[in-house]
Amino acid sequence: MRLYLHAEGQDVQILENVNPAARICDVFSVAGELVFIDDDEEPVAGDVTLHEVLMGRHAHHLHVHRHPCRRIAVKVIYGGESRILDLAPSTRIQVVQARALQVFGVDPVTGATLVLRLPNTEPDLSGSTHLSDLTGRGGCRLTLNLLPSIREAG
Amino acid sequence: MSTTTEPLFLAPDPATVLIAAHVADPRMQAADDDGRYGVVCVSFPFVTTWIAVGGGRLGMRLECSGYPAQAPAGCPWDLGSNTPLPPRRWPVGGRPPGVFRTDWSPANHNAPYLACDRVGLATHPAWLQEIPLRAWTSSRTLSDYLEQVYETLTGAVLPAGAEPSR
Repeated sequence: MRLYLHAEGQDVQILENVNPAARICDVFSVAGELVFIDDDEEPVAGDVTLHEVLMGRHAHHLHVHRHPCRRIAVKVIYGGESRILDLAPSTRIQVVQARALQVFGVDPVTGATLVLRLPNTEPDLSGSTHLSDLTGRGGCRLTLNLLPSIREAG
Repeated sequence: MSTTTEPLFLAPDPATVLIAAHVADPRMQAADDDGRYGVVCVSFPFVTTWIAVGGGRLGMRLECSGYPAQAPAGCPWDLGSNTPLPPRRWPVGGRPPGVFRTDWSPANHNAPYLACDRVGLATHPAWLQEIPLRAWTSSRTLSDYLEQVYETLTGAVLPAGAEPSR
């Protein structure tokens, strides 16, 4: 099977042909870090096998996140107000945005015009990005701005 | 007797080398595994792709001559019949102003209304200054293109019965 390894500040690493019978801790070092699978809310123990992790999933691949934090306090700023979302590091930006739209009470039409960005940066965050790719030992918190997307016009 | 030296082989177009590398890169692989978008086949200068839309898949063929100096030129594609997808089967909705505009795309080679597309950019040169982060540059890859189409089609749906076969 194929593993995508996510860690803060690093490009996603691919491990090919990993034996599903292997324990997570045998595949890569998990010292001092928690391990999250795909979009799961809770971490898994390092001594479980990939086969056990795969139970109930229809996947030939897994996204594995190594992260020091069990939860990330994501501060979302929108229209001069802010809300804190408590999310696992394995959460994708598209889920963060959906939760943010919900807590701010944004209607779907307006919501379709909004994007999340890191403070003082210009690129829109891709919905497929994981929080684990954005945060790490610097702290278990992250600030994101919910802003109108600048789109093609004219 | 001729003294000219004949080349023993023709070097491959540099675009084909880069396309092969970008089709195989981890980002493309993850998108394919996650069901967001992927490449069906490469027959230079064409790269046939799919993009997840509202639970279905939209086919798109990208004309990639001059890649990556030139942006890909995309159009909706019927993956079953290997022909252009007629406008009645294009996705509807998504983030405004929409990717495939029936008031613009048919008159512009069925191109997506996006700054990452060759036709979109050629017909709107101001986009390079107005939305540089969305505009194609030679540092972008096929994944950037497909990611932008995928993200902009968030919330879009394929018309009933219009989903192309894979």
